Amino acid sequence: MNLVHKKHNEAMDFAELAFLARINGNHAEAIDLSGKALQSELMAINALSDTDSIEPTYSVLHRSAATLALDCNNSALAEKLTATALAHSPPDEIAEELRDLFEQIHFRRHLLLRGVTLCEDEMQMSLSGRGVGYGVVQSEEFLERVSTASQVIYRIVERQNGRAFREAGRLKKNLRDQYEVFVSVPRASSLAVTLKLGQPSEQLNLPGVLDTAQVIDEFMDLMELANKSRLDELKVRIPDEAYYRNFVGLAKKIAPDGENVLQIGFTATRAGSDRFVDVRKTRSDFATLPVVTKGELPQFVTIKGVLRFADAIHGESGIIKIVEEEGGKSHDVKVPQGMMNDIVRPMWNSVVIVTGEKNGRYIILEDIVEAEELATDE
Amino acid sequence: MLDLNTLANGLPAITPALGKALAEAGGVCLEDRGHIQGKALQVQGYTKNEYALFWPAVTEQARRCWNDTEVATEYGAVGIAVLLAKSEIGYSVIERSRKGTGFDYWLGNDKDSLFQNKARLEISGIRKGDDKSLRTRVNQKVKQTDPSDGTLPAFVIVIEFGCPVAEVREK
Repeated sequence: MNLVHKKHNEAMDFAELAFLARINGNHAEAIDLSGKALQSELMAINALSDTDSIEPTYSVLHRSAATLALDCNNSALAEKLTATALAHSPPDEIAEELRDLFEQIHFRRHLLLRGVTLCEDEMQMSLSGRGVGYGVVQSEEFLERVSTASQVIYRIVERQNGRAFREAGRLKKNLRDQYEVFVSVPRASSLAVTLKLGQPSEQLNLPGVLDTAQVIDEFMDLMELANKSRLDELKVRIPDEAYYRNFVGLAKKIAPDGENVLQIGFTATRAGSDRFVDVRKTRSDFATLPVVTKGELPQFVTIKGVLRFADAIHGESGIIKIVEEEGGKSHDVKVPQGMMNDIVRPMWNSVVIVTGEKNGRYIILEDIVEAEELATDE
Repeated sequence: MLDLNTLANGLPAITPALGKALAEAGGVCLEDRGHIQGKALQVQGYTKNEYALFWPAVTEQARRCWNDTEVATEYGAVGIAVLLAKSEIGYSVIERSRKGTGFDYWLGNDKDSLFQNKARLEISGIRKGDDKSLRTRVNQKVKQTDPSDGTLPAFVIVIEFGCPVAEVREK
């Protein structure tokens, strides 16, 4: 076994230990071990002779070292290693993986605050992808996500204030005034804005009243759990079915579409340290987040048509009608609590694709997306 | 028989510590789907076979460690796939490199130089799916790169923990 092989194996042994440390929650140890793995991998690269520098060995070692550098939060080194490997004309699939890695490295840069100071009642939202230029973004992509992030925040406030899920009507004025979301002027990074929550007034800042920093922490925690599909923990955090269903639906609206927007990041500052939540799970992946987390999957049906009728007066669930464009056949769909106001209503009069469980003459809604949006996923 | 406990002995490119963890992850996924020791694993695609699956006892601590569903499913699938690679394809996992959130595994002969004349082993896991989702995942993996000059040889193994079933394909 030559030196390249020996040092690479050493690097991978450290990388495995780093992975195990991370799984066991020892994050500082994981970063330390990743650092050791990186040093060994760099030694393996330095030991490459002309005869060893053939592909795919050259690019695989560089990609491996670049990933380790990213594990150690050394974006600059990761960028250099990735660029070096790409310049070496790697095999097609390794080149694709290197480009994916480049995107991750660049997005890490975008998550950094770059001199912007965030207060405890603020968080940064960053977007990147083909529909996002340097400081510009397709307005729909941006506005929808800001609006949806605000809805998530208001629902957190209502839930944490012990209010029953509000199926219809507006947020109470006093809550809106206390926790209103303000948006800063966009910054050119990928595209980043600061979302600021209005501070509760002095007289209402009583014990038990939610602090805006707590609302942001809850938002970051929930998005992180959803992005990692940690459904059991999500369910513990949001035991109420209607609030849970509502959050899953809204998180899906915030998630990247996989085309125009590839990554959404949130950054908050606590005790001088930055916390990042990097959402890469696409909307179609979020569709696999089941509302029912135990038991067998029901038999789903999928229909496409125009959302024409909404009746929200039926207690725990509302009814919508989906009218097929060709032939005009109409389907009655029951909308469970938590979905009508924030998720279904904005799609009024649009062509939608509904997935749900068939139950007698009704379809029990599981998922609804605008047809146009789905077409971009195909 | 496919005994995940044997992973704790390590493989040429998997340390005993990681092997033990992979076996644990596999056990967490299988028990999460309600399976008991000896459950039959159907193998389809490149070969057809059936194995009785065994795994280490799943402790509460193991469940806590592997509470990230995606990570547990991915690594549980790795544990089963590396054993299937040996028994169904006839090659051991001989090398690994760091990639994304996990490792890139390579099959082949130890005598060749690093990553030379090796086939990649692309592994994917589905915690709870059906035939359609299994086929979709396999097709996604196989279609990741179109066959062309310079494309690296690869095998794809997708593990679905609900049945459980393993689909093995040559790319």
